[in-house]
Amino acid sequence: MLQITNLHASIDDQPILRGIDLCIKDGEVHSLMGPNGSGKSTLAKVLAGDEAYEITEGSIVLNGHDLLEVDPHERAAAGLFMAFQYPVEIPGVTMKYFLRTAINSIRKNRGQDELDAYEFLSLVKERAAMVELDLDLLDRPVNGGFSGGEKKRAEIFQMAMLEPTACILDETDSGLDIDALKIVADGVNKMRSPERSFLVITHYQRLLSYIVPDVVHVLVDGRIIRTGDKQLALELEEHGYAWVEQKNAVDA
Amino acid sequence: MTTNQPCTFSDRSKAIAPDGFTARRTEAIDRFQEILWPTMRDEAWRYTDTRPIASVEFAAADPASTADLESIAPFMLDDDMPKIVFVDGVYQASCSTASNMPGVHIDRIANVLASDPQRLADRLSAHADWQDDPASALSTALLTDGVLVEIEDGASMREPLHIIFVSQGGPDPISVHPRVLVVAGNNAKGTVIESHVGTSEHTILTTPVTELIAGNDVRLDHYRMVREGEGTWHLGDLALHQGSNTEVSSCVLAFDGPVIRTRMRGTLAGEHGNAILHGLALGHGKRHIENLLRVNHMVPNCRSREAFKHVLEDNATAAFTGRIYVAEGAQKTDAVQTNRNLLLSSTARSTARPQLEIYADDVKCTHGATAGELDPEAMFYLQARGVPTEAARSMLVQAFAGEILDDVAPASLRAQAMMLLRNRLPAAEHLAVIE
Repeated sequence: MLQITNLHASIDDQPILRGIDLCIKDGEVHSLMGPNGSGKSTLAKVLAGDEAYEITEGSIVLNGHDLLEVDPHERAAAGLFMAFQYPVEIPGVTMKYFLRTAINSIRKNRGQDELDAYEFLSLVKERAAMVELDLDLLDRPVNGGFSGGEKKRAEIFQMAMLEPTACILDETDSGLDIDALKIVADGVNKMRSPERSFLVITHYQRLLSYIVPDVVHVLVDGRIIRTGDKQLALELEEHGYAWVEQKNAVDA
Repeated sequence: MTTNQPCTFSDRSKAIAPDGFTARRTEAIDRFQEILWPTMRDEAWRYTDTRPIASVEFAAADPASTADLESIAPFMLDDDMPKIVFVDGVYQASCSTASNMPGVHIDRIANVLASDPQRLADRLSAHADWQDDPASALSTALLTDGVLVEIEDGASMREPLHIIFVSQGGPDPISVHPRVLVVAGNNAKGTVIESHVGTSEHTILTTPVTELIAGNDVRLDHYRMVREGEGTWHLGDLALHQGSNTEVSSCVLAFDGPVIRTRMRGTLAGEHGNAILHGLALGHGKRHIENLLRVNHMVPNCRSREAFKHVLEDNATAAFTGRIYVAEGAQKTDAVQTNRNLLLSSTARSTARPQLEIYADDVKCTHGATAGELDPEAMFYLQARGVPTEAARSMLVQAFAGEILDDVAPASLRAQAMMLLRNRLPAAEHLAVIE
């Protein structure tokens, strides 16, 4: 269970998140929607531990671990995974080398045995197939020269490799054509399980036709202003974010 | 050291028994006496302070110097790679295994000077520009031995030759002057690897000079691995001279030693030549690294590529100077020079001086120098995937160095360099083993 309570975060003394409360139970898929600049990506980066942001108030607890107390790699070991909106290219480090170091660091941290070369490659083959990822990409530098679609597929592939319990997908749909979107969504759906929770951050409803959420939140100006079921995403698509704000004003 | 042994460089040069090289030695010692050790006001020596060695009296090495195989074992590459070992400039018959290959003559310079000095005429010290540089002048003035590799027209070295110069020293400071001359005939091919190594903390000055002379249609690769002991000043010189349709590469891996200064000069004298000069330096503590390059494009249609990378920690310093000279009429010259510095501490320092001297109008010459820290976005990405902070830093240092090491063709040398790098990085136990 991922529990976010009254989370405030700022960058360069500029508040971005202004009190976020969010609880994602095991097995649930939540979607976070919102206009540009509402703080969606900030929330993703803050969850993963980006030091550029200052947490001024609140808490993030994953399965009893206080994430704000630990470094990004320990959050990963605790079961958090954030798929980047813009995966970083790292020349000189191959995907395979990086991933093997990552997975064994996490396994070591969790008290599991490291994977040997054979076990690692078997897992790579199995999980790459889930997102139809070309195995040749694994001998290339991390995200180096990958197309937009390859980068996003590689993110979901890494997620499948690292087997997290809480998955944050930061605009994984951006820059994907419809075929790639389906492949990525299929990969995510295959990973859905009663022990795993998802936070799917997106600007558009489109992705949610493929990854059907249990709960939809609307983030505006650093606060969640409305929460509903998947129907809310469809209404947003139809009426836009301004509509939610008006509706909230009327309700109040 | 007994008192009647010659101690000044001049006395030492004059004490060498006359042979076919005596006239050149005399010229060189005279030249050295003229220029001596420059101060930092001298443009070429602005970044390397010679005061710590200028007042030292360096004796010659003990002619009976030996090293046991065990102590040099960590510096070896493949067991079966032919090798020649010198300890403080003294040839070690017991651990040298190289012999001639078909079409390839491998000889000690001392033997050639004694028996057939004509083979060295117009070659030895012909391209190193020793007149401009005290270390190179000294090397010429005190030259007695080293390795000559002659590859006949059309011949290929079937495997790389590994030449190991061990700097061992003793209680009194000594200077040694390792020498390599490679002469490749037309259509020849070969690879020569030098290792300059030592584990002692004795005060030693070493001034290795290597000249690579390539005829036409030659492919020659040269590597110089530097892993000197803590008391060894390494002031090296490399000269490449290329005919037409040649590709000659030289790569300096400056891994250990308090001062490693390397002067490299490539001269493209025939059309369609390609000179590749690479370097990787690792500096920590108070180490100082300097790479001083000059590429001469004398004729049209040649290409040169210079790529030097420095990884600096603590108070380490590095200086890079790269001059690209394009002679009048050397049209369609294509020259690229880069110097990248990775500064892992706020007190490490790097300096880059690109210098272009171009007398032709249809050329493409570019240079780029950078100094920076590890990319914070890449760091966050690795950490977010579970790689611990120190291991993530180490991984990015490996990536930075990888651009140079990936081009090291002999697998055993590349593996040795990668392992040395990995072992000195923090959190190496977290890093997957490269297969």
